[in-house]
Amino acid sequence: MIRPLALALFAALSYASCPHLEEATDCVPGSSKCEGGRPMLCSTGPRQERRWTPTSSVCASRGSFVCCPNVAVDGVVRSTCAPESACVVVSSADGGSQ
Amino acid sequence: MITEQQFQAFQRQLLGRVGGRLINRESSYEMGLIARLFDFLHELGMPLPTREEFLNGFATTLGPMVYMPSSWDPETKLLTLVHEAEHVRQWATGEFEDEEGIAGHFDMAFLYLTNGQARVRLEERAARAAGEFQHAMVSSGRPRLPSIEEATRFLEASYALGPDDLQFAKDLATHWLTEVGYGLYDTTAGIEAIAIAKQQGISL
Ligand SMILES: [Zn+2]
Repeated sequence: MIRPLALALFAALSYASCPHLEEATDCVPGSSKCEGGRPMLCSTGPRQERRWTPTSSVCASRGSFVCCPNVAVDGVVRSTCAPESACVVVSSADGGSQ
Repeated sequence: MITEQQFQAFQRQLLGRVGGRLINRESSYEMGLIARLFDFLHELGMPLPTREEFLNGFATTLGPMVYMPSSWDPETKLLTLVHEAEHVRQWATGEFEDEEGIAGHFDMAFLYLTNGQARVRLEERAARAAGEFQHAMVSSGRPRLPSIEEATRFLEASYALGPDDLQFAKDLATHWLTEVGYGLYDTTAGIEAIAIAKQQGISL
């Protein structure tokens, strides 16, 4: 009883002390969103786990930019930092998540 | 056209600001040691670069030290240095200037070595630094930014990444190429390099 407990404790401790990337369940890989004025991108990890990744600094900290859905260089609407004039309105059907 | 003298003045300024140091790769003891190991493994049939390729074909940053072949032409060295200077910065202060993202020092080194997604994030951000510099400095007649393919191709060969990681790299590149296209410069190395080049009258 003690041994598995000690092992579990050790595993939990080493996981807590080794740097790791936070996981999330609420995202579709490749989708993006704005959080706190900063663009985030959803990706898939090696165990098929998902996570949100910040893709740049808070947009407003770099001049007159905002975080919003806009047409990216690949022609797809994505949430990135952009000048306000480039922002597009997305229908609620896709929630602006692409 | 960039001269060796211009490159030297530029590298001293840029690495001074991010707290790094340029080391001549061909004559460095550490790189020689790794090259010999690679040569040995190459002989055993492992798909690794030979000693010659390892010493003259790559730039590597370890902590604050940038190991770059001195034989490269000054313009290649300059663009590569901006990429490597961002790695120096990542090691010193982390992925971003605020608390968000991957922290510096141990976290950065550990995650870079053990996690493909972290490697993609740190590499694409370094690629962004060079992309920002190119976007700001390139004069007319040449492309101001790489394509998504060009911005991710370097990760396909020797970074041990899976298909999900490479897709993530493409998505990240699409994000930063879009932002840099709007003139949004976000990386420390990119912003510093642009300021130094303007001050030194360097143009690509
Ligand atoms: Zn790199």
